[in-house]
Amino acid sequence: MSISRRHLLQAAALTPAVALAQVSPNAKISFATIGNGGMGTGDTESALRTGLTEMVAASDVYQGRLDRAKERFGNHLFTTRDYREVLARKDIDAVIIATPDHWHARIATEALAAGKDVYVEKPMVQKVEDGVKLVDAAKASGRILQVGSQRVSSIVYAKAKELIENGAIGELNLVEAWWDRNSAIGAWQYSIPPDATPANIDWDTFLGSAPKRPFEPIRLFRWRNYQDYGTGVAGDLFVHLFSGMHFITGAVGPNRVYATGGLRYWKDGRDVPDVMMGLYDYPSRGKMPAFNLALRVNFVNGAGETSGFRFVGSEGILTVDGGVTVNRQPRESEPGYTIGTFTKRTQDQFLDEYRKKYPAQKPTMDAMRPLGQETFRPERGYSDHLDHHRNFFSAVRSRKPVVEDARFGLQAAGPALLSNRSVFEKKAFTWDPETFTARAIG
Amino acid sequence: MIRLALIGAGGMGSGDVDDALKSGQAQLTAVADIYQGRLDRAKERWGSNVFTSRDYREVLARRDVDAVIVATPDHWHAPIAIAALRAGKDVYVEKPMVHKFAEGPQMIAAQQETGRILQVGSQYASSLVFAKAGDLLKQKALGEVNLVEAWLDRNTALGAWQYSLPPDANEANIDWETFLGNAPKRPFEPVRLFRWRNYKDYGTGVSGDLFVHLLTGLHFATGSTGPSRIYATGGVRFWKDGRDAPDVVLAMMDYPTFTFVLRVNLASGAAPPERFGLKFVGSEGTMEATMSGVTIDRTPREAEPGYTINTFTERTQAQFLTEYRKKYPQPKPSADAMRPLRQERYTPPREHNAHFDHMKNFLTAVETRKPFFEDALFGYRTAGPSLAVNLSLEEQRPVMWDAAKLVAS
Repeated sequence: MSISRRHLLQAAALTPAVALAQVSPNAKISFATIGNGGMGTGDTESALRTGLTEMVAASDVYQGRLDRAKERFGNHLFTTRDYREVLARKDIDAVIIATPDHWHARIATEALAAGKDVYVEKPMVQKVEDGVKLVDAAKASGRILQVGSQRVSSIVYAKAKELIENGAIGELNLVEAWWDRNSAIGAWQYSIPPDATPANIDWDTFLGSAPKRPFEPIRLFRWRNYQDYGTGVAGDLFVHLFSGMHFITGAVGPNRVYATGGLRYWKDGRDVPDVMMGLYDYPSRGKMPAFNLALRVNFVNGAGETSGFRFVGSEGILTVDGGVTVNRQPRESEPGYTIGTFTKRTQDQFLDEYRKKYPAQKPTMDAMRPLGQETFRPERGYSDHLDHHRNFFSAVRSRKPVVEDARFGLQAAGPALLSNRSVFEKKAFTWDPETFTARAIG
Repeated sequence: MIRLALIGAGGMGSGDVDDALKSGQAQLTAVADIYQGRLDRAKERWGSNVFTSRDYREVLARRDVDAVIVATPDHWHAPIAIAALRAGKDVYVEKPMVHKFAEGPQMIAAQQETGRILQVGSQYASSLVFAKAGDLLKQKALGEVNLVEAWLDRNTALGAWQYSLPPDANEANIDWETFLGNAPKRPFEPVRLFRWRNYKDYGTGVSGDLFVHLLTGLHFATGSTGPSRIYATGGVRFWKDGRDAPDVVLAMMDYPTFTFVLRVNLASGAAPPERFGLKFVGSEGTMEATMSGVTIDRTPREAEPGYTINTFTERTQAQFLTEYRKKYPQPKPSADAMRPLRQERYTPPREHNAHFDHMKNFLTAVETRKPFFEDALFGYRTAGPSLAVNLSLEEQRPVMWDAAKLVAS
């Protein structure tokens, strides 16, 4: 951290932030990671791999992860169980927030207020109301906020977007996306460390805004399994599918949401479904016609683990998994007929007229219709996660806006969170992705 | 020889008759249709001695008719089927059994009161594929089923119900008022008759035409009697020819222990390997049932849960692993320890034709007086949820369905 940088940050408190926030083009961006679990650690590694950054601090409520951060990223790290000590440091330009979901909004808001740029894990917020405030806070602060759904930075998704925009599948009418898992860890049964004791964990800090409860480390280490801290299948995985799909189609959100599902297999005390499906109505927008979205997450798929998208159009289907595949079937050149139930005389008459309209085609080489399948794959080892971090830290330096900003983040999180309400309240909802408002139907 | 009459001599009805005649158990004695061309065609096709009439009541009044096939547009199914039962005929009625909720209990009552045979024409009830699928489910081949997906994709004008209109479709040749029946009065417009599936007044859309088949396959294979909640969405996305029935419909139905997810897309731009099928997803495997057979894919559940300990200190990791390996001893890589990844495939005999077998099952029931299981009750247990899909589409809300009382709300 250079002196000039510190000076600028101090000045930022007195002057509009946008004009001042600048990282010198050569200095490394210093960042801290708040929440050093699996995602936070992965984010940290990608952040370091960009070559644009240096890590200066780590915060976590579990001592073991602070010690581990030092083991892994260097003894120089400032570590603390209190994230506010991280936010108070002037030598930190940006923070990665990878806490349980119920802490995202609060820490992100405080980080923006402290003049930090923010990379916040998905879903951006646990509650839509918090998201609306965070969108405003991000805007008012002039800081960069990027949500951690990395597909938005993926060249694979960019390719899918380009293909669909260029008419590769005709007119889009349906998008299906799924995520099937079949393992304990896939179902969030993360490991609990043997030293998970009250002495090593700030339990009350973990609880935060959630209801008070006695110490029960499983609720921390497997927080995704509990509505109090996580957002279930929808907040963990639907939100990726929404982010990716919105990026590809340019959609901003559905206007109707319904979801169903249940806890069918992983009955380990969790209070969220392990099988969940949603149906969403997308209105037409710009050049994109109205279409439906169907989402599925199944943690109990006895055949194995796959994930992907199918974009179905009138002339083809585009599949996105590790790459992009387009299956094309040109529309029939004539409609065909069903005349077997008419009299022979009427059939002849019909055929005369039909053939006037659709002359019988000579079988020629030129008349053969191209049935196509094309697959586009990124280079081996391609990481959209790395690209996503590169985009964030490049924006921190250039002060240019990111694609997956707070608004984008809430447009993805909103329908995901509404899916949870739909399952729990057994209702369908309308959703307005511009005003972020929902209303129960019926 | 069973003396058979056909009421509604369009594509399905004619196919039904051909199967009945092929069985050698039946002869065709009478045909009713409101379009003269189809009556004339019936004589061309099945012999000039076949009695024909534009008034189905004349057919029901005949003593040389033992059983009738009702293959009219959907809104005529119940009125004609009930009249036929009351006239002492056995009835093969096309799917969906009814066009309106109120007609379901009426059909069930009429069948019970008359003691006649009534069979609904959703042939997957006679399919060896679904019989096999049901057998495998009973043996717990998939563990516990948590999700069933069903789909039917099409991409052609005929698949999207743009059936041909005859050049002589004029008012002299068509009893338009009779076609309308209990539907709202409208001026003559033959496209609404020949492509009646496109209009809610006469048809039941994607749901009544196709979901009902998927429901039949599901109920037959699982023994389920119906969902408790139904939600559907969709729209007219491609075939904007004046129809009011959506060409893309998606639905989710809550069954007691699994969710049933359905998709029909009449503008699906590329052919998936199987255009129609059901996929049963269980904890121990998945099973796809399609016209080409039954395929099971199984990945045995993992032998140990695995761990995520990278974010713990090295010392804690070592401690964790010691305890973990006490609980899950390190498996030796051995030939015996390899887990069988399995795919099983069952294909029906080449000559198996569910549609033909279904008709044969009906005719055999007429002969033996032992009804086939796809009776009025079974038929309404699939037609009711299909109608609930349309209600959900119409009112844009989830619809509750009482599978015991057969009531939608």
